[in-house]
Amino acid sequence: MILITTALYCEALPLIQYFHLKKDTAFAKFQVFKNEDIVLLITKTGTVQAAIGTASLCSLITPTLRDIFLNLGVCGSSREDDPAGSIFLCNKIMDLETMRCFYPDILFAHPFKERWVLTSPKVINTDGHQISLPPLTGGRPISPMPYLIDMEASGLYQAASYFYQPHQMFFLKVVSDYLMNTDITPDKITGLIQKNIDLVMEWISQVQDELSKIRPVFTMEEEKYTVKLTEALQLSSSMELKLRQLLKYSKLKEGSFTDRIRDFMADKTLPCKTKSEGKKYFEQLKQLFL
Amino acid sequence: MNNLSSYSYNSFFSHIYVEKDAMAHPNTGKILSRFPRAVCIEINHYKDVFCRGHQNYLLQKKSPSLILAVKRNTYVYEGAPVCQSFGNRHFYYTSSVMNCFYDCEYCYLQGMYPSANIVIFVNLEDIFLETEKLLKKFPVYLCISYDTDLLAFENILEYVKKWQAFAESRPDLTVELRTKSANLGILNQLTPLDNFIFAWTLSPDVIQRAYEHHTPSFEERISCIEKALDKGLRVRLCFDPLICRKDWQSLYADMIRTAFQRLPADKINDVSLGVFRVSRDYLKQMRKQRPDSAIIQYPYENDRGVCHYGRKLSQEMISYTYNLVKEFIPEKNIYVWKETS
Repeated sequence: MILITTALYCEALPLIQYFHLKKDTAFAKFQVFKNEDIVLLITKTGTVQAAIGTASLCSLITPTLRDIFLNLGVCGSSREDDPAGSIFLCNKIMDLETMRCFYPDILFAHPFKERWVLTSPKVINTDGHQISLPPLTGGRPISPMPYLIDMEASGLYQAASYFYQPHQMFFLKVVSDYLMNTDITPDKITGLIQKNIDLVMEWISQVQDELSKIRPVFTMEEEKYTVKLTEALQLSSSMELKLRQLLKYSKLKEGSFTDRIRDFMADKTLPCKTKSEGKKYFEQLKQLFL
Repeated sequence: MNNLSSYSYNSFFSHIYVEKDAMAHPNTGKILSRFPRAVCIEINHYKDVFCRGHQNYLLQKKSPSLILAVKRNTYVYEGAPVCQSFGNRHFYYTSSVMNCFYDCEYCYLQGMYPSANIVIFVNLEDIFLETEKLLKKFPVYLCISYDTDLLAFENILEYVKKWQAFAESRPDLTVELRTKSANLGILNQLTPLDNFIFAWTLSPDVIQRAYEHHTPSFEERISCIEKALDKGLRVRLCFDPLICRKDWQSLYADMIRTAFQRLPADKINDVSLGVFRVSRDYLKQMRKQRPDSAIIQYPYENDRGVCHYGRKLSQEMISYTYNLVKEFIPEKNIYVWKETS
């Protein structure tokens, strides 16, 4: 599953249309749009709203190692020569309120330029003046880096990092302004996102293909057999852990173990009447599987 | 977890995180100049990246980043009980680099560190100073390549050469550098020193191919050791960890005999033997990080906090390999890791 967050409806609109997403009215506090593979959350602006929305949604739809968290939205840029609509993948997020920094892992090759993003608690309008920032670098050996400004990334990262690993989180920002009064409108924002949507989704789908190769060691059937065997042998919790370890090793070494367990169980009078009988059978299993 | 293909991952060290305090250090500039296309990201402290929660060690191994940092507070540590002291009373180790270029499935580093990214401490001079202080008190046996493989990084760091230069004028210091590298080019630049031991870990081909990803083959390592011996470097062979498989006896017998057919045994300083063992806490973490590795998921026996194959099998493996090695190496020069050591 891909969880996409945007702050505004006008940022979400191209995604809703692209994926034919339907509004899910079960979520009362936030606007959520869905299809089978994608959940789109409109958080509204600000880090707190972004964090609350992300945390509440992730608590209901628990992400797995195969899932992706994507934040797509517009931002300001410190460089006026970034054309409007330029898209950047953020490799560092600095919260301007707390000055804490967060680092999504950039493990996958991608077609974007990278930039760091500063998350501001309020709208930045410098009218041509530089905003007051901490010293960005000593100037050596990395030259001072241009930056982006948004209002959600740090909140999103902090909330999402409870549910996702750092390589599963992607922050893509589209330049809409240069930190000055502009005549940016919802329609223009929709257009800027629309312009990038093919590139973004083509790449995200490749990442998803990669992550979808991650599978738990046990299949559903093997999991069922493990539970059945645990119950039949009346194993304690610690013995169950040992059994699972043994079966996991066996699976990785020899492949599926369901046939062997079926034969083993067919050969015994089960369930065991006593714990010591279960322990005895467990020792036999060890001989069989090691 | 199934093996993921690697076509869509960034190349190794595509991203380099640099601590603010490390920016101006000359080693930082040198290292960065080796990676002109890398994306450099400034950080306050290496732990801000290295110690993040929920990192995926296995996936990070496919595209590790470098983190250049300044080492602070403690520079040299006392040797751990699971490590072989080779009879040295003042046994210490130091980590100028955390994590390894190679990806050995059985490696304890994946249980010890929360990240597969590689931290390079640029202030090697502070480690030298600390070592100097210890040397004023007693002779020191110092392992400099436990939590990494320094020789494998030599093209980038040149730390081995610096350690050699440091050790050359300090006869009370004995340095052990453990490695699986087969970097023949580097050997020409190294100096034979009585107090500098190059300890090569050797594993049977089958084990190397299955579990020691990105490492040089047995043949490559042997060729490198041959050259090192020709050059007069002091060489230790480490058959450690011994890994159990159904055919472990024939695997290790073949490997040990082949090694000593190729290498002049009288020139080998000593040999170390040890079965796979790891602390319970590390193993727990390793199993989480590497759910698809049979070698990690083996149901090891927990013996007072150290997990291994169990006393009987461990002793059998040690005794078998010991008897093989002693055909070539005097027994006084064979060191065996024991649980009590």
